[in-house]
Amino acid sequence: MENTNLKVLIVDDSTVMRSVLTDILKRIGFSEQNIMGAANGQEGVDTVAKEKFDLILLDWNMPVKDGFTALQEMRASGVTTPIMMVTTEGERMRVVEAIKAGANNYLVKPFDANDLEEKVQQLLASVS
Amino acid sequence: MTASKTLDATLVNAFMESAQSVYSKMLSTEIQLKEVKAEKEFSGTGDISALIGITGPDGEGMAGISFPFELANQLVAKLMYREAHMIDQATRQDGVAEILNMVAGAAKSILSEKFDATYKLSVPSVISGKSHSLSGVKGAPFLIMIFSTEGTEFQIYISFKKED
Ligand SMILES: [Mg+2]
Repeated sequence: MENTNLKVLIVDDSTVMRSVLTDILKRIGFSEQNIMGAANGQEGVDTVAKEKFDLILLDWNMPVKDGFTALQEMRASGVTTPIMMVTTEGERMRVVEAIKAGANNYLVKPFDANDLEEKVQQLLASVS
Repeated sequence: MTASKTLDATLVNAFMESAQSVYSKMLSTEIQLKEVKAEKEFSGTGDISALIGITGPDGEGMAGISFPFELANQLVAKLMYREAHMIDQATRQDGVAEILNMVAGAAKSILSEKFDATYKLSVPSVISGKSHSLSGVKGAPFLIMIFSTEGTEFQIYISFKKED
């Protein structure tokens, strides 16, 4: 499948959620060895500064540094990788804030696995 | 209806809706609300509880969820498409925290739009151990929602003080 070689970074403080997201990505052709995890916004920012990714899934509520701040810092440092927020923050205002700060897509937890699959495919199709 | 009764009903409805959504979307499980009661104090009847703080411009509080170990393992396993026996202690704690994070997050979104205020959630924490007790917000009752799923009960509790 065409997603096999794409590199993904999942930034979420929940190990369980990183595993759930990894499993769903594997179902749509991503390979596990190309999926990396970061446990908070700071780790996410640091990882992205060192390595190039094709997709970033970003949680909002995390210790150390939240995902919104991480999003702003990534964009300020010139990172152009497509970023999708995957978060419990569901208020319309939050979505608008994130999109303005440079998020390309937004998925609210709880989600259907199908919604995640579709949004990831849409996002990748829109940038390719 | 008094103001506090209205608030209680709003909180209960928001958490019922959010819990149902999390269980059906992420855990492929149906839940039934059996009972709602208000109490001054609450002793966790489960073996593992997760807690999360909620703060906003017009109020503050906390929400929690309590499970027996076995049910916690079953639910975390469902969330991860695994078998219950594969769930170790660290995974159980992390999974229970994330289930509450999603329930409280969805309820928070409902309440934010309803009260036209921006609430913030803390990062969830977990307490493990038989009959641990939990305390709520001073001056606000504990709303205890007893749910049942697959023949086992679990509790969601909310303690929230809203200034009008
Ligand atoms: Mg989180």
